[in-house]
Order: sequence, then C-alpha cells, then structure tokens
Amino acid sequence: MAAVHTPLLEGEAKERGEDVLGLSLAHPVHEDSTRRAIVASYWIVVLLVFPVWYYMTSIERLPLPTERIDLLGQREVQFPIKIDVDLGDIGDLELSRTYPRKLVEDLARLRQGSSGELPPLAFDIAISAGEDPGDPCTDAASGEEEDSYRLHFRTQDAYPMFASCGRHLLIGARDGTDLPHSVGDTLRDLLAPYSNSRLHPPAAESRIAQYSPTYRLAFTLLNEDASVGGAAVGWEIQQALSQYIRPTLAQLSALHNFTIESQVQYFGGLTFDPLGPLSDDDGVESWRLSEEQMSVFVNSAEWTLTSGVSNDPVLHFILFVPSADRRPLYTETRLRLQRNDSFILPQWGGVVIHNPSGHHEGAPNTLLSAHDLAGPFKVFRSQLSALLGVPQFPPQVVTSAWQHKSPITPWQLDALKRRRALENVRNSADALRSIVSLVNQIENMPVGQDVLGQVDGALAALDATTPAASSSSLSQILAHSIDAFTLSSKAFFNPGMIGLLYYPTEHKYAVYTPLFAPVAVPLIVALVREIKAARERRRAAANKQKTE
Amino acid sequence: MHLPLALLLLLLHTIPALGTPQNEQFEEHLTLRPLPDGKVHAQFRFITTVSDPLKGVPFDLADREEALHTTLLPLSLTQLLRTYYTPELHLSLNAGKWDPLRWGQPGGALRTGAEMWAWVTDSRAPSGEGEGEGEGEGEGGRWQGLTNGLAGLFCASLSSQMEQRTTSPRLAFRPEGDLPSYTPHKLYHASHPSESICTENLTPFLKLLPCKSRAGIAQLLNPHRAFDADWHGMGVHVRWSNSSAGGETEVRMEVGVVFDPVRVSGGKREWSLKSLFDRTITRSCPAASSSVLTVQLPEEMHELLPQPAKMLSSDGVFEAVYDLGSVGEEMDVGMRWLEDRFDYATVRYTPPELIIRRALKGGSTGLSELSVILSNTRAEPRRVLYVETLPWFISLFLHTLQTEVDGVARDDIIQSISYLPPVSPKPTLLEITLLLPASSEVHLTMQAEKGFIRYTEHQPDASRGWDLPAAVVFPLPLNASSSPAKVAIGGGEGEGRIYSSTLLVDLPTPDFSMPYNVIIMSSTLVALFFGSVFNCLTRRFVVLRMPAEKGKGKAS
Repeated sequence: MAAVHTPLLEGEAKERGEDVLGLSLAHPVHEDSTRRAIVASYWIVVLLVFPVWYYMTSIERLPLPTERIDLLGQREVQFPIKIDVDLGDIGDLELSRTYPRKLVEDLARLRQGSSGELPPLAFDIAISAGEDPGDPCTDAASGEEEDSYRLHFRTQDAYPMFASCGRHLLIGARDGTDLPHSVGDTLRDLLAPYSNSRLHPPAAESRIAQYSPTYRLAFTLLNEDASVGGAAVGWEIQQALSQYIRPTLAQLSALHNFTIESQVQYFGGLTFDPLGPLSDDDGVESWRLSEEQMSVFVNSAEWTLTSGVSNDPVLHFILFVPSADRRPLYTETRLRLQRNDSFILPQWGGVVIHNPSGHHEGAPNTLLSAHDLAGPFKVFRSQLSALLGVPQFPPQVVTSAWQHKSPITPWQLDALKRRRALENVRNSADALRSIVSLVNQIENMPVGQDVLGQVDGALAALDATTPAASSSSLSQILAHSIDAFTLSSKAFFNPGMIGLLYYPTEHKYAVYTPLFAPVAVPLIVALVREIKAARERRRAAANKQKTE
Repeated sequence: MHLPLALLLLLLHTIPALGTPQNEQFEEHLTLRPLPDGKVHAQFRFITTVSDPLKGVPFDLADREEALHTTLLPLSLTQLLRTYYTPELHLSLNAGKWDPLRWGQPGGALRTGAEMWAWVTDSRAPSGEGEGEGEGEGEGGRWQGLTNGLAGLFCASLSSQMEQRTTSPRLAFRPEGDLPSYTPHKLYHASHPSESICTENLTPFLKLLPCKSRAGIAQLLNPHRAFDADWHGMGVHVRWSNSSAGGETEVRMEVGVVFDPVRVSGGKREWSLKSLFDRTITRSCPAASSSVLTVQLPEEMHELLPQPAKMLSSDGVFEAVYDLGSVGEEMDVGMRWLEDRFDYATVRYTPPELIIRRALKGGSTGLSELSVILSNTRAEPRRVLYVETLPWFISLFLHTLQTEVDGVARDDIIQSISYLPPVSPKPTLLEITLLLPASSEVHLTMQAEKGFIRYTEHQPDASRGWDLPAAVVFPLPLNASSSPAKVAIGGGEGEGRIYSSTLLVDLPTPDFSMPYNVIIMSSTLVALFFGSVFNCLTRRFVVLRMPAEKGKGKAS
C-alpha cells in the first residue's frame, strides 16, 4: 500500500511517535511476529482443508483383490479321466501283464503331447481281466458315469478293429498274441481331438464361434427373386427342426441355451453376378459361385436376417433359393453327386443352396415339405456342430447303429466341454487381469460395489474349477467356468466404469485456476518473503555474534 | 391307374398358392384421391393377417422362449412385440402441413410429429420377469423397452424424453382389437410433436414388407419424391382380434403422401403414377393375395387412363379399381382434365364436420390462456371426447375453465372431466367429454401458467420454444348411457379421430452465459477481496523519508 504522505502530516506523526494511520509504531500489529503468525495461520488453514477437498472430489475406487488375481495364472484346471480297461477274453496272461504297462506308456506319451496343445488330463487307469466278455453295446446305456470310459478288448472276429458306443471303446484283437499298436492314437483322437491336426485342421479351428452361454439361431428361407416364378414360398420348418436340429440342441444344452427364430424372404438379391452360364460335360447349364464370391455372399445391407431384439450372438442359417432364370447355382468346388451345395461363413453361420426343379420363368411357386428339407437340414446340423466347436469323430472308429439318433457321441461332447471349460477359464482370467491393469493405468476409472461383487464372484467360480475344490467332475468344472466367464465379462463391460473416463483435466484447471490462483499468489509470495527474512536475520545474528 | 392321378390332384389341391401352415395373408392397396385444390392424396395400405386356429392368444406369455416362425409377418416387429408382451401397437410418423379444411382427415392419423401408443401386458402377470424390465421401474420397463426397440427398428428418436411424454389416458385410445382377457393390460401413449420423418425412416419400414420395394405397389415408394411432397407420413398398426375361429393378428402398415402436381408441373393438375412417383409398377408381388389400386373419381369431367377393370360406388363417390395381381409390363395410371391451367378460384370446398382450432395466448412470462374452438358444422348435436396432453411445465388452472357457445357462456355442455395434474416430469392429462350443439362453435378457455425449467433441460435452440403435442378429439356416440370404457371409437380403424395442430410455446429462458459470468465474477471478487484483506493484514506500514524540498510545501 503506497504511503500517502504529505510532509506536514509526516512531520506531525513522527513527533507523536505514530504512523500515518494513527497507530503507534510500537503497536503489535506492526511487529514481525504478528505478520509471521498471520501468514502461518493462512497456510495452516490451507493445509487442513486440502485433505477434505481431496476426499470430496475423489471417485469411488474400491480396491480389487489383486493378489488373488495375480495367482490365477499359477493354477491349472485338471480334468479327471477314469479309464477302465477290460482285457476280456484275451487268454494270454503274459500279455495281460505287459499290456497295462504299454498302455500306461502310451498314455504318458499322450500326456506329453505329440502335436498341438493337449488339455490337462489327469488319468486314472484301472485294468481288469477275465470279465464277462459280453457286448457292452447291447446292454442299455443307462447309468453311464461321466468322465469314466471303458476299453474292451475282444478277440472275436465279429468285432471290427475299433468300435464305440456310448463311452465304451471296443478293440478287436485278431489274435490273442498281440494288441493293436494304435490304441493309444485312437484314444488320443477320442479324448483330445483338437490336438490332431488331421482331424481338426486350422480351418476348422477358425470356424468355431466364440463361447456364449446363449445363442440365437436364425433360419431364413431366402429367395433371390420370387417375382420371376419358381420360388419357394414357405417351408415346414417346425417339423424339420424337431427332426434334425432339436436333438443336437438338446445334447448341447449343458453348454448353451438356444432360441430359434425363422423367416421367409422373397427378395434377397445378391450384390454380384455368379459366373455363368457354364455348361458341363452333360450339356447342362449351370451357374457357379467362386471362392471370392462366397466370402461376400451375404448382403447385409439389404437382407434383414435376424430381429435385433436381444444382445445374444446369432448364428445364421440361410437356405438360398436362386432365381428361376439363374438355376441351377453351384459352388465352384462342387462334388459330383452332392445335391445341395453349402458353405460355412466362419463364426457367422452357414448357407445351403437349394435348386428346386423348374428352371424357367413362370414356374409355379412351391412349398418346401419336410421331405425336401431333409437334405438341407442335415447340412445345417453339421454346420451348426462345426460352428459350435464339436470335434470330428475319428474315422477309424465305427459307431453303432443307435448313434445316428443322437448325432454327437459322448466322446465328442466331453471333448467339447473340456475345450470350452478351458477356454472360459483362460478368458475369465485374462479379463480379470485386464481389469486390474486398466484400473491401475486409468486414474479416472471408478470401481463400484457391483464390479467388486462380480470380480469376487468370478474368482470364487475359478477357485471351484481347480482340483483342490471338492467337486471336480467335468460338468461341474464346466458350470463353474461358465459362471466365471459370465461374471468376468459383466465386470469388464460394466457401464459404470466408463462414466468419468473422459473427464478432461482442462476442465478442472479452467474452474480452479481463476479462483485459486489470485489467492495462491500472495500467499506464496508472503511465504517466500518470510523465509528469506528469517534467513537474513539468522545470518545477521550469526555475524553479530562473530563480531562480538 | 387313376389312383395316382387322383392322388396327385388331391395333393395339388391341398397345397395352396402360398401354403403357409398358419393362414397368413398379405394384401396391398393403394388409394389415389384427387383433392379439390389440385393436389393428390395417395394412401398405401399393406395389411398382413395371420389367423391361427390353434392359438387363442396373440403373444402367449409362456411362449416367449419358444421359437418364432414367420412367413409373411415381419420378423423384427413380431419378435419385438412378443418380447414386450404387446398385443396392440400404433405408431405414426408424419410431417408436413395437412390442411383439414380442404382435404378432410388423414385417416385417423395425426398431422405432424410422431405418436405412439400401445396396450402392454401388465408386468405383474405371470412369468413377468426377464429382459422385459431392463431399465426403469417394473411397469415402465416394458414400455421403455418397446420404445427403444421401435426407435432402433425405424431409425427414429422415439425414445428420447420418454418420461416427459408418456401418459396413460383413462378414457381415450380404447383398444381397436381385442386384448387377451386372462391378464390386465395398461395403455401407454407418447407423442413427439417435433419429430420429423426422413428417408432413413422409410428404408427400414419397406424392409418389413414381404416384397420390400422390389415388387408390387411398394415399388412406387420413391423416397425422393415421397419426401418432397406437401405432407407425408407412415404408420404401423398391430392389433389382435379374438374371433370364433381362433385368434387373428393384423399388422397394418400405411404410407400417406399428398402431392401437388400443380406446383411441380407449373399449372396443370393432371397426374400419372410416373409423374407423381417417378416410378411405375413393373412386377406384381408374389406374396400378395390381393393387390388393388383404387382411384376416387372427382365430379368434374376428367379422363382416366387406362380403362379401369371395375367401377364401384360407395356413398355417392365413384371409384375405379385396378387389379394389380398380374402385371405384365409397366402399369401406369393417369388422370387428365380438359382445362389448360388449374384455376384455384373456381374450387368449392365442403367444410368438414368438425373443426378444431387451438391457440395458446400470452407472453413468455405471466399467465397464458389456452383457447380451443370446436366447430360442429353438422345439423345435429355431437358428443366428443377432447384429450389434451401438455408437458409438465404448463400447469392448467382448471377452475378457470369457461365454455362459450356462439359467444354465450354456457355451463351444461361439459359432461365429464378427467384431469391428471402434472407432477414433474410427468405431463398433464386432460380428458373432457363435451356435447356440441348442432351447427355451433364452442369456445373453451383456460388459464395456464408456464413454469421455469432447469438450465440443463432447455433445448439447444431455447429461443424457439417447445412444441406442444396435438389435442385429439374422439367422436362418441350420442347415447351417454354407455360407459366410456366400452365405447367403440369410430370405425374399426379409428378413422374418427381428429387431431388439432401442434402449438409452439415460448418459455422464459435464462441467460445462458450466466455460468461463465458467475465464474468470472466470483474469481474477480475473490481475487480483489482476498488480495486487499491479505495486504492489509500483512503489509508493514513504514514512514518514508522523502528528500526534503522545503520550497514546495503542499503535495502536488
């Protein structure tokens, strides 16, 4: 504050020993200690309020159980496999003593893995001999336990080399002296088919859709152009579904829940022209789809293939009826005797091309009966199995007659369950680790109570899949892995976590700066001055002491 | 020898032309009506009916997890209605200016904006859990899900501000079909007066039709021409009826367009399908069981080409009917008049039977007055139900309701009032049953107050104002003894509804730059005040010894 002075006033004030404001110069308000106390009290208030402000402007970030999540990588899921070997009527006692060891060695090699990754299988092998050499397939297949498989050796010629029914594998040994070498390989193909690159090539691997507990199956009868004539205007889909598709869905019900919807479309135009007309050796004209055209077959812009009501992943199955002036339509790699051409679009669905008779315009419209739909729906069934990851059954094993009613054998189902359980455990562990690293990296991400609950639930479910848990059969491991996957997905995609994610820090500075900067500057300057003055005084005092 | 032939014949007879297991039928109908002032009103109707003798109820509650198989019904719409347990749904999206004095009524649809109402199964019904109630409370959850689904299906923003637009009228909007009787249903009604319709809404609409826009009458729907017209709109109406043969679900999809050939051609009012729509019908829809084009013939001398197959007359109006079931090459219908130029002055209009005029008078602050004029031009008295929905910030003062008939104040024409006062954010709902005397003009006035709304609730262009939804007038039968709940409104298709125009209300707006001002002002004050006080407290006052200049005594 500039001192307003006049020489007259100044003179008078000095005479009286006051300053210009009328306060005595000896008043404590002018003393240094007062000023230091004032500055110090301002700073004490600032320091006391700072934690309160920090608490009130912080976001809720509950602590995640990071130690438990870190330990996740070290635990392994183990699938219990119990193999009962029944040497049957193999008379040679010598063999009955050496073969168990050979089998154990075979399986040890199996465990070390030949090609590809094997699932962690914990084998429990029991060998018995001289039991009743009946045919296990003729007995009713009831009461089969999960996870326990039986090998039966038979010497009778009536048996083929390898046959299976239910969870039994019958091995026919031609003579009782030596046992087939490839038992170990066949067992590997049955128990761990995904590791055999012949049975399960990389193309098949890339087809398999991501796991989801619910799937929607959308069946569409798609006419390319119904106005030309010869179109299929309806189909008996309910019957075809119950005959071909529903048994498979029932078998897979432990893994997924399915909802089905179907529709008929009359105008599903293609965005390209198939190659043609080409005439083959018999002089029959046909149109062809090349590989490239198959990959862009689905015209998603024009075709509405599914109702978009729920968020479940959808597998589409299209029965395509080409227009009457472009029939018959085949794919380029068509087998001669195959009636229905079909192809799978990986992880999306499958297309079957149906060429009804009536190649001219103005042909009458037809209704596809269940008999007409038998061929396409068998193809849909195999496409559905391929998309859901059902492995191939090894060709050297013969399945018995009643297997055809239920198209997926228990060996395949168990292998699929093991694969999905492993996948779910790995994916949920990854999701949990990603949550932890995201929350650590992004300071603004809140972690609420519901996210914490879901993470805890996922960890508990993952704990239940380890062998240390009391319940460890395949179905329980699968159920727990599905729980873990669902909960960890929910925690990862929780919408509450992205609320404040993009809160710009410039906003904070823009509001705080005009308010606090004019307050802060005098405080800081006063503090700095006090410190400098204190240092000066100490130096002056030290100097005075020295000179004294 | 004859047995296989007989069997073959039998087989052929049992396979119907469309041959769907449930009896599904699709009909399309286009009505062209030349209006007195040279315009042409085209109304497209696409009706899909499904009659299922096995099922007694439309969307069986227990069936929700069962497979849904459709042939002609649109799958997305049906799946949506099934998921949210809705047996009856009405949705209209219209834009443009409809002139009721000259053109009549747009067939029970509103004049501008979007309107949607549905009878939703009460969620306390059995198996009422699941994805139906995602967000929102129990009952509102299904309506919320339905509006979100429809908004996604038709690419329209129908789900914005649902809480502020949804009402449940007690007397109005009775179900046009039947509702399953084993469970209670609730009516939800919402209107968006400022919602516009564009080509993005027509494209998914056409995808719901069996033949899309590739064959049949729907080929004419050229979005560029349709949305260039004076008035255009689309509607979806789903209802279910319980007949003796089982349940029948009807999905009716409509598009209405009013063209002005005089404006486009520069003076002549002749039209043809090619000149109106820029397209002709080249193929017939194979899924349609009947495909009909009807032209209403005006009274003056005109020429209609090509010659129609049939002529019908109903109520003194002659109609020419063309059957589009089998279209060989292009099908183009045109009408010509004898004159050279159209003369607006020679046109005579027949006034409609009921005219509504509505206005909100008053400035942006202070009391306003809602004034409604209902004119009954018929020579006999009419009973009507007047329904008014206003947003929550307009409060009506019901005690100031005054009625005047031809300038004379009268008390006895109001028969009943049902009033739901606004509770933020729910809107006001006013339903008045009136008896309009013959050939009279009834003037209703009511005072209203406009409230302040929060700073963040204003629309981006706050000075424009808020759109108020149209008021609806339902004609009722004169016999007042039947209770309002059982009244059949108009014809089977709700034709009798009359909508007024929308209003624009000006609300007091704050100064939107205030937050900036507040920040600046408070920062300045704090800086100055704090600075001054701090300096007073911590500055030391010292005496300055100035170099003495005795000659100059006073301060300069």
